Amino acid sequence: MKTDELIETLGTMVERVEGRSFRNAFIVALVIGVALAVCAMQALLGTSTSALRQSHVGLMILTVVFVVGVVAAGSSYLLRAAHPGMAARTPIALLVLLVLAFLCAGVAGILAVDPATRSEMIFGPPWTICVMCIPFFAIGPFIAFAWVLRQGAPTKLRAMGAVAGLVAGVIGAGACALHMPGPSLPFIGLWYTGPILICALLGALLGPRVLRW
Amino acid sequence: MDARAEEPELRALMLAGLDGDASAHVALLKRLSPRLRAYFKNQLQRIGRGPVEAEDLTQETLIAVHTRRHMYARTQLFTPWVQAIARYKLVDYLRRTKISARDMPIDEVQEELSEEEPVGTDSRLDVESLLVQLPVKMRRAIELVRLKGLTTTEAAAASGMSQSAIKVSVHRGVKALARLVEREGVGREDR
Repeated sequence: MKTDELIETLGTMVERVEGRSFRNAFIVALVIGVALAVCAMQALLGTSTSALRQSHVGLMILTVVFVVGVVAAGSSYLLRAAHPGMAARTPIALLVLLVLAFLCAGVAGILAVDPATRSEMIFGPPWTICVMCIPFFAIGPFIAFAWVLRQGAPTKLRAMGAVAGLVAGVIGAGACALHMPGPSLPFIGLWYTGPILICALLGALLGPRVLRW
Repeated sequence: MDARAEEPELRALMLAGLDGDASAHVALLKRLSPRLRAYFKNQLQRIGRGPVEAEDLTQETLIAVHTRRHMYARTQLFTPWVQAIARYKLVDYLRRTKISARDMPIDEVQEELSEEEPVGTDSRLDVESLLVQLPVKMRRAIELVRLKGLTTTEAAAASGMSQSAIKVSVHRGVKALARLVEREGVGREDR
């Protein structure tokens, strides 16, 4: 086929393009993703109001700030990076900062407690729930992100996949926290962040395959 | 010619195209194709791929510029936008054909897009044989509007379809064609 023929063909139907369509689709995907994660949690574990009531207010605020912060910064990255040639350094810096801060808080929490009670604090509560469930709850949001991002034009698929995985993991962690709010800082620092980072890693591995367009 | 010096013109064409100006859109694609061709030829030469693959990639990139128009933010520079797409299509080609990116350092598109390679080789795809694979309605609408050059109104009268049906069919048809090109395009012979 001649390239000029192709160009003429492409030129036969040129319609006005509205700028907001991708942004709207992304918001829809985000809402669907969150809903899927919460539904998966509800179906598998169920929310426990008593646990939420008994939980430490400071830790709960910290969790909410972390989840909302990562989802906001991550969404900003995904939205920008789905546009070819658009830099997204600020959101990436914010993401790194947030995750590091959360990790540091966890490590500081671990160091601050008496070594005798440390292991009880970390391994006492059912930590396997977090490790198993966060990646599981993240599947829905990740699929939703992949669906919408493929409609865009991501050009760095590995980075895109990693951030999509990270945000999906954080949404999964948020859903998990509805069932079992973090009992202590060392606990959430370790058992939330670990699975979240695994999600980011899986996202980076899957990115080049699932985000191709 | 310096690609940067042309940025204002190319951007103006892109913006007009986004507003629905078909001739500006065609003009843009026509101006991009020699640059893309030169870029891909240059890059592919190093791994011993010929002009046919370069033409395939040029066409894939043009299709991407068309089908991903909505991913151009009106405030953004146009040249980096095209460069990012061209580079992505090259990386995607290397990935598909299992050529390690390490074997071929990808230059910044910047310099490459400033060269021109006006004469295109035919790609391996034939538009007629692709059209045959489309549903009858889409094929007919594209044939009327594209091959015979009718307006939407004339095509509607000639085919007995409504104007909006013609529009929708051409629109979907072009999208389907783009998908076919992507599916049958470059790199498939390596499998």
